[in-house]
Amino acid sequence: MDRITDFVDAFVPKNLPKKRKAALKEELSCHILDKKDYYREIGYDENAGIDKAIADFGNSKEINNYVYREFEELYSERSVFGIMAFIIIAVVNYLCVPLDVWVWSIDSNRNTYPAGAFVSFCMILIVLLMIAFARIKKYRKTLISIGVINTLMACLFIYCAYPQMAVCTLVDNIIYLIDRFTPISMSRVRNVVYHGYFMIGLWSVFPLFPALYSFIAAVRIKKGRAKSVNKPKKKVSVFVAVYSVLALASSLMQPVGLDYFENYPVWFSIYQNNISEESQQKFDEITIGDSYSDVSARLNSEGYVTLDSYRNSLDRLKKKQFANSLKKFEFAEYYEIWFHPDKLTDGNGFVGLKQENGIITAKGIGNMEKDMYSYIEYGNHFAFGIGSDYGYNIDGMEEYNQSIDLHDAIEYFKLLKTGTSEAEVISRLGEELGTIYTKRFSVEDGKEVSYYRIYCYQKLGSERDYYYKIDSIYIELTFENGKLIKGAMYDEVTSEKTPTVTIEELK
Amino acid sequence: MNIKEELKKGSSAKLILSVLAKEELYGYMIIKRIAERGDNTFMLKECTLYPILHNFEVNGYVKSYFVEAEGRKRKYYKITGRGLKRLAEVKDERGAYSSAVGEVIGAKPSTILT
Repeated sequence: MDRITDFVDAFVPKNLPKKRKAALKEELSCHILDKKDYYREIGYDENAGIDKAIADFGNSKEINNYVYREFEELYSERSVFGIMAFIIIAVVNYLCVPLDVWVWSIDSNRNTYPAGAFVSFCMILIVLLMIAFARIKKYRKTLISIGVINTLMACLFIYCAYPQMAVCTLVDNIIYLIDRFTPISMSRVRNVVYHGYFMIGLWSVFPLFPALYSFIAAVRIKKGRAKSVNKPKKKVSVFVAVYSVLALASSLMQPVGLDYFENYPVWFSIYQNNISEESQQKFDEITIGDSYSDVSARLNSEGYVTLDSYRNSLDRLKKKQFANSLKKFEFAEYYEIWFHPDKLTDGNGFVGLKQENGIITAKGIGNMEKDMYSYIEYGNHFAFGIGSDYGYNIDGMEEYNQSIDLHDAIEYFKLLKTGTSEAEVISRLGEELGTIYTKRFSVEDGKEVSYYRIYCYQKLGSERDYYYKIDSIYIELTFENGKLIKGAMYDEVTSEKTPTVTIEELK
Repeated sequence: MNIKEELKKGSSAKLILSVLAKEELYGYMIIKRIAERGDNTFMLKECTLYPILHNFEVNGYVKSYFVEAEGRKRKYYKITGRGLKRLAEVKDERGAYSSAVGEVIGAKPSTILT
């Protein structure tokens, strides 16, 4: 009996539940005893009968390949594995909060950081290792459990935090590498992707991949189509090593990419609704009828350059970044655009010159946009602020506190008549009620033509409000010999390309 | 598991389900019945029988129960409705396979065993 027990013990896996192990041993021992009885009946003695019965079972290789492995695959999984996998993944996910390993929550978003990214990568590795373990052992219920918790996270029934930092870091690194080392410009893509809904969508969908794999593996196991994994320890070790190196490299690269984009050169910003004193001074110094070569030589000596000459002086990377910065601008035709690279980084630091036969015929300052609409279309003043009483603050909030009552500006514009003096209109609209952000001056057929673009805005709602809105209008005015000849008002809210009100309509 | 083993398992599975379709048996008796019915042509090994039986049980093709007799606890297996359905499928598969083999070697369908 001892020999039978020893034999049966050898091919019943040790990691099975006690009851299952006992039942298997009972069944197999009984079989050997029945077989022994048969051999005794045909003339074998007790020991020889046992030997023959054991030998009939198969050789050690067959027993290991068929019986041991099959029993292990069929019975070694315990319900508690699935429950544990579910709990571990849920705990790993929620650990992100105390560990500060998250990027986005309902009311806040933050930058990634190397340690956080690495922890997030490690959390993903934990999930992947659990899947690998369950797949190698063919633990169907455990795989289903892993699939369920990941699906729940993907569906946002359970807030999905564990892949956030890793996904953000990985995407950011890819964007950084493309922008830094290829001719493709990614800074605008990054603005859309980083902290945008795309990224939230990406990391929310991320758990669906392990979930999908787990479900497919579970189905294949159920249908008997899942192949046994050869050399699982070696394969898992190689995977962990490669993954760890890549995770570490990606985490360490994170501050490099972040720094690169935070210091991404922006020569010109469209979000400037005033004219700098510097460029106003240049504008005043230029007189229509001056020699173009004299004016350009003077501007050059003061550090001003044309866009083209500046662009040509840059290296490959800077040239790409410069072009990217300029992409937002569509300049007025026939104007040569000048700027000071060191002093004027906003979109209104431009000085425009128009010349004919070496003589200056027109000058301009401000954002030098070709027309109103391209600027309005950016819609940057639909911005929402957050009241300080609620403990929140946003950069530049003070700026919004200087708004006027937009109603005054609109009413003043509506009452304007052609022929009104330039000084009066500009004093009221350009200084009291709004801000001039583009100015052009030319002399055509002996007539002095002045052209202005004015921005007026107001803050809707008080600082006590949780949210408040910036509402604004844009006005363009043309004067001939100091008298108003035409004008138009554009309401940003309507986003119409045609002006809301024109002076001609009011005449 | 290679193709050879799969085929072997396939025919073994059919044999096991066939004998269980006739009566409820325990492991030792299943081997005995198969040997008897095949005039000792089919000698199923224990290391093949038990994994298949336990797979069947997990997949719901058979049900089991213990019966205590002669001081031993024998585990009896009973085919289920699902097991009968599976048996029919296996028979069809083998029939189609044998017909195809017959076509290739030019044998008459009636001479091919299914």
